[in-house]
Amino acid sequence: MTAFDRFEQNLPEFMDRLASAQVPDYFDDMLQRTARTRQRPAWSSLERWLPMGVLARPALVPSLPWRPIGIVALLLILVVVGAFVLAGSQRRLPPPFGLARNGAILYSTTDGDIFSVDPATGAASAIVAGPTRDFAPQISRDGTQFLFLRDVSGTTKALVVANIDGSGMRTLAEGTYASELDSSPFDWSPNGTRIAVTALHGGSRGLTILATDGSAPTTFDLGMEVFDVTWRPGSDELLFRGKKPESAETTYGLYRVRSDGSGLQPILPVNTLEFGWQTPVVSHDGRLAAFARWGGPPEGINIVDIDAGTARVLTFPGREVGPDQYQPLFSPDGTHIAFVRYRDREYQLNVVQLDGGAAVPVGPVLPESAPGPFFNFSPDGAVVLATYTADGSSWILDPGAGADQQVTWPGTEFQSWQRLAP
Amino acid sequence: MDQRELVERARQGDHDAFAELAGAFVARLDAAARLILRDHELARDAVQEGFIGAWRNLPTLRDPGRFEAWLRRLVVRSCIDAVRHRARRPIEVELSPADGPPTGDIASVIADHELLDIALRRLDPEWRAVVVLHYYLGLPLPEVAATLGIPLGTAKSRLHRSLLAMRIAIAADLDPDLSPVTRGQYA
Repeated sequence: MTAFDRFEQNLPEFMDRLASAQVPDYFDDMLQRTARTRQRPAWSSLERWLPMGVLARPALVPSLPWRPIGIVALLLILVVVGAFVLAGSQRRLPPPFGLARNGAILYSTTDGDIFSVDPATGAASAIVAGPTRDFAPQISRDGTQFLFLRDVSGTTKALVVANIDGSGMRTLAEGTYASELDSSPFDWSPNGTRIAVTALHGGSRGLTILATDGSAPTTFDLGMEVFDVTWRPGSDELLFRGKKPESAETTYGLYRVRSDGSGLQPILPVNTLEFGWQTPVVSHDGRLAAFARWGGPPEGINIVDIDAGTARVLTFPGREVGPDQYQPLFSPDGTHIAFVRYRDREYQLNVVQLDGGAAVPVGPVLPESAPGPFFNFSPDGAVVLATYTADGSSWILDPGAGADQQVTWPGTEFQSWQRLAP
Repeated sequence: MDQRELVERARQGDHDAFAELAGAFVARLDAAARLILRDHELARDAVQEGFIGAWRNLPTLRDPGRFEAWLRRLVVRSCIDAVRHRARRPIEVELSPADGPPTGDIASVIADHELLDIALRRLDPEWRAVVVLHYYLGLPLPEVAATLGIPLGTAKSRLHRSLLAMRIAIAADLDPDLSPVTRGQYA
């Protein structure tokens, strides 16, 4: 074994030696400083605990004839409810995959509330507010429901489902979800009755399918750790990135499995590349998958024909050879791919046609020290909604001829765009 | 008294409870800060700033069960701020004495130690933070991303590129005749 090999294997141990963990000599001095420091009163972040509607309530209310007002209000409510029932009975739903009409955007704030905003006007309203920290809304494919995470304690979170207006909240599960920032810890089934979840079970990350009607969840032992699970359009299959500890070494691969846990198989031959199968996504017709590969050939965005088990690298003029493209995302109609491109020590979102052509850079250019963007196509596929956590800005980016536009709402990286019937 | 109870008491202004909590975490976080910043003074300032911020803002912490992750985030972000805001002075590399007697081939251990130091020094501090959080503090990548406030993809990208850069630095050190290689590309 060379020093070169030894280095990576023993990195934790070497770092332990390089910086030994001892109580530092300034510890007592630091405690004296904290003892002299006043704590912020808990009420100083009152807005984190109370919905803004409560805070904004006027302090003085003139005396009013409440009885007639109550009767009129009741009649109005009945009329509105009746109108909603009528509209609901006639509502058309979008197909679960492919192009759809743009609806509202749900976003979570740094204060742990969830808002709904009309992207055309910027008018926003809170749909989940209160003392709990709620975040990461994700709208079902038919646009009628959404799920979100709620901090329960420590690393334990609850997965909550609600109607699109925030009503009818119900907790489906509590557990240790591996990450707030994972790009795809959950995925709605095409008909919105199930949710595929990757969650920690006994220290290992496995696949669980939750039912939105509250019936018992199903957890599968697939003999490996499961990441980046996504439902495959037009089938009862799920795709995911798997990590499988073998006796000699750990293997990684892109797998498919039916929603009852049967039919597990790798889509391409597995290998030992930890970064060989990054952020897999599936096209709207379920025919293709895309993932980013680094650390071994062929590096770049790989496009896979799922049934044929064949792959090619996404090419475009000027493409760098190396681990310089990642986080692919199909447009809703499957004609384009958006991805993050690293070039000359800078990152930028790019959009390229699947069948060739130049990669079109869109949105802000980031230095390599900045975090990369979170992004998603709009339901109609015309624009990309991207959030840059470095400065907290969100943008609607137009890969066509239109201008990029910074949005006005204070959304975090967690934003989900509602799909409506075309 | 368990950690949750200590946090509850510290939130209500019990400084002794906070001191006990701080004592439980300071050694590891101080070492992590030294690894990230490679500068003893900057690390001391960043750790102190992180802990003082933790004491000051503790009453606003929503969930006592999140204390450790919250404190770690404060300290690591103080490190990143220290890098961004520091005066333009050269960073002096300080090697702490190794813990305990090395095992095996002493010469090769020392050589590896030096190689690691060289390779780490060549990384940007924000990339080094990803390596330290993942390999030294043992955090899974999603938690690394959450601690640094960056997307998971960025954390993965930085870790991957950091390892590449470190391998290249080591290869160059082992064989100085190798031609320079651009960061992020294979030779």
